[in-house]
Amino acid sequence: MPEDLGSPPSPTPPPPDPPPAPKGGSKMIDVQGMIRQASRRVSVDQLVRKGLKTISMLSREKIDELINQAVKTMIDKYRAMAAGVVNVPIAQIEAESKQEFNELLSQYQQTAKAKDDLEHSRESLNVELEEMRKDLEKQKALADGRLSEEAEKALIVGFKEFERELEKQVVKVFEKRKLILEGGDQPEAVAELKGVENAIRPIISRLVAAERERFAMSGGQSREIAMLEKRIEKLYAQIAAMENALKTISNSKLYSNQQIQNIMRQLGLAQEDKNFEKKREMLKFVLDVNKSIRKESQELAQKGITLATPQGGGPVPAPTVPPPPAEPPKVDAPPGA
Amino acid sequence: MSDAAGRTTKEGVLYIGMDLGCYKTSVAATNGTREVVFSIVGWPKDPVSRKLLGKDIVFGNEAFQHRLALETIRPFEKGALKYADNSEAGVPADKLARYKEAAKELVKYVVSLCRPPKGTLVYGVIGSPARASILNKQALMDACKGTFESVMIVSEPFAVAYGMNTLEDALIVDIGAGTTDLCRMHGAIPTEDDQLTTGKAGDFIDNLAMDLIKKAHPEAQFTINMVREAKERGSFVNDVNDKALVTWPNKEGKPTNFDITKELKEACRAIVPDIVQGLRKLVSSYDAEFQRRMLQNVVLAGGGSQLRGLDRLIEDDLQQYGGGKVTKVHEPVFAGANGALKLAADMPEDYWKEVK
Repeated sequence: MPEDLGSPPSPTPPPPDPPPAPKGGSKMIDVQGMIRQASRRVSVDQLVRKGLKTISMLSREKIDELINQAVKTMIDKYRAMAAGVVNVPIAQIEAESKQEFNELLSQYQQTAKAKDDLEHSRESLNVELEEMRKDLEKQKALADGRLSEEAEKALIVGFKEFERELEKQVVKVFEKRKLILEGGDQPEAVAELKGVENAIRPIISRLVAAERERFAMSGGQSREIAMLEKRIEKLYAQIAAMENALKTISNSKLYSNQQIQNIMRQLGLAQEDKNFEKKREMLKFVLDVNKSIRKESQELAQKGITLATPQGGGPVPAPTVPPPPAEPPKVDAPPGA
Repeated sequence: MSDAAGRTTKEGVLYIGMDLGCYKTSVAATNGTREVVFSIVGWPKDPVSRKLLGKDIVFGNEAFQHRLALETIRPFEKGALKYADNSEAGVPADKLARYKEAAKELVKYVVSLCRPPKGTLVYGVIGSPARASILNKQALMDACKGTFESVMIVSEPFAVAYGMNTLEDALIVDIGAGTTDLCRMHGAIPTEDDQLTTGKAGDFIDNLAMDLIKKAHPEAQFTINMVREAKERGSFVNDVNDKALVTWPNKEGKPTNFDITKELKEACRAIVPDIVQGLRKLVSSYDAEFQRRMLQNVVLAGGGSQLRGLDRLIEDDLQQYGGGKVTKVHEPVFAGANGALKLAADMPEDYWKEVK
C-alpha cells in the first residue's frame, strides 16, 4: 500500500480505521495506527494526473522503527543529562533518590526544630517585654505618687510602729527625768527640761523621717536590682535558646547560604534588603564577567599571550583533544516505557 | 549527595572573602574567621635556617619576623600579578614562576587559617584592583586553583561598596599599599569609566617619608620597615599638635630620639591631591542632577584610610564643589574582605558551579 504523507486531501476522505491495540514488547508508540489515522487514501490515477511519475515507498514498519528509535534516543539523551552520568543503573538512581529524600527530610526536621526554638524564644521575649513594660508603668506611677504598693504600705506601717515606739521611749525618758527633777529642790530645772524636750523632739522627728526615706529608697533599689537580676536571668535563657537554634541552622546540611537566608526570612529574623533585586542583578553580572575572564584568558593563552609574555610569543598550550564520542547510553528501559 | 567530581558535600560550604593586598592580606569566612597577615612568603635560605624554623615554608607575620633567614617574596609587591605586568612590577622573567608559586602558597595558607572542616567545599571571592588586566585576574585565579572549589574575582572598591550596602550615589576610595582605587557607585556594577586607580598609596608614602627623613636626619639609621611602623603608629595629615617621635639608632648605633612629624605629615599628605583629583573627575563626569548627592557620600576604606585627618582634608577640598561628606569605614583593613565575603555568601549555588 503506497503512502504519501504529502499528498493533498481527497474531497471525500474515507473514515479512519480504528487504531490497533499496541503490540507491546519493543513498541513504544503505535505508529502504524497513528499513520493510518492521519493519512488519507489517494488513487494512483489522481497522482498521475498531478504529474507524479515516481513514488518513494516507506513501509509502516520502517516508519514505526525510525520514530521509535528517535524517541528512544531522545529519551536516553535527556535521561542521561538529567542524571549527570551516562551509565547509572536504575537501582542506583532509586537508592540515591531515596538517600536524597531521607537527607532532605532530616534537614526539614532539623530546620523545623530550629524554627520551633526560635518561635518559642520570640514568644518568651515578647512576654518578658510585656512584663517589663507593665513594671515600668508601675514604677512610673509609684514615682508620680499615684500608686501605693503593698510593699510600700508594709514599709510605711512598719515605720509608723517604729515611730510610735520611739515616741513612747522618748516620752518615757523625759517623764522619768521630770519626776526625778520634780522630787528635787530646783523647780527651774523642770522648766528647763521642758524646753529641752521641745527642742529635742522635732530633731528626733526629722531624723526619723530622713531615716524612713533612706530606708524606703534602699528598699526600692534592692527591689529594682532583684527585678533586673531576674530579667537578666531570663534574657540569658533566651539567648541560650537562640544560640541553640542558630547552631542547629548552621549545622544543617543545607546546600547554601541562600536557603538559610530564606529560612531566616520566613522566621522574620532576616532584615529585608531594599537592594535585593539590584544585588541579584549584580551577582549575575559578576558571574558573567568571571566567565568572560576565563574565556578571554584562554583565548590569549592560545595566542601565546601570558603575564610573562604580554606582547605574545610565549609557548602556546597544546590544543585540548576532544574526548572520543561516548557510546550511546545503555539505560535499561522497561518495556513499553 | 555528591558533586560532579564525586566529592562529598555533606559537610556543607565555607564561603571566604579575601583581599589579597600588596602588603597585607585579609580574610573573612562564614565560620567567623577574620585574619590579617603580611603578604609575604619565605623559604629557608639554607639547612641551618631550615632547622631553626623547623619548616620548609613560612608565611605572613612569621616570615616577616624571620625575613633575614629566609628567601622572601612578596608576591603582590608593586602590583605584581595583581595589576602590573612583569616589567612594571620589576619582576625578572625568570622569577615569575616563583612569584606565582608564592601567591599560590599564600592563598593556601590564608585559607588554612579559616580551618575549613574536611570535606567542606570552599567557595571564595577575591578582590582585585580596578585596573587589573585579564591576565592579572587569571593570575589571581591560578593562585586560587586547588585551594578553592570555585572562585570569583571582583573589583576591590565594588566589594567594599557591596559590603556596606552602599550601592547608589556613593564614591568609594580604597587606599591600599600599592594602589588607591576610586569607584563611583550608581546602583549598577561599576564599569571602567566608573573606576580610577592611582599609584599613590601606602608604599608611596613609605618611600617618600624615607627620602624626606633621610634628608632631615642624615645621622639616623633606619629601614623602610621602621618608617612604615612609625607611619602606622602616628600617621596624620591634619594640623593637630601630635608629634611623631621615634627612637632609632644614630650612626654610632646609639639609640637616639628623632622628631619625624614634619616628614611623615608631608609624605602622608602627598597622596591627597591625587585622591581629590580623582574624585573631581568621577563627580564631574556624572549626571549633574546627582553630583551633589554623590559628594555627600564619599567613603574611605583600606589600610591607608587610617591616616588621621584625611577625611577632613578631603572635605575641605570639596568645599569648592559646594561641600561634601567623607566618612571612614568601620573596619578599614577588613572592609574589602567583608564585602567579598558578603558577595560570596549571596552568590547563588548554581553560579559557583558555572565557574568551577
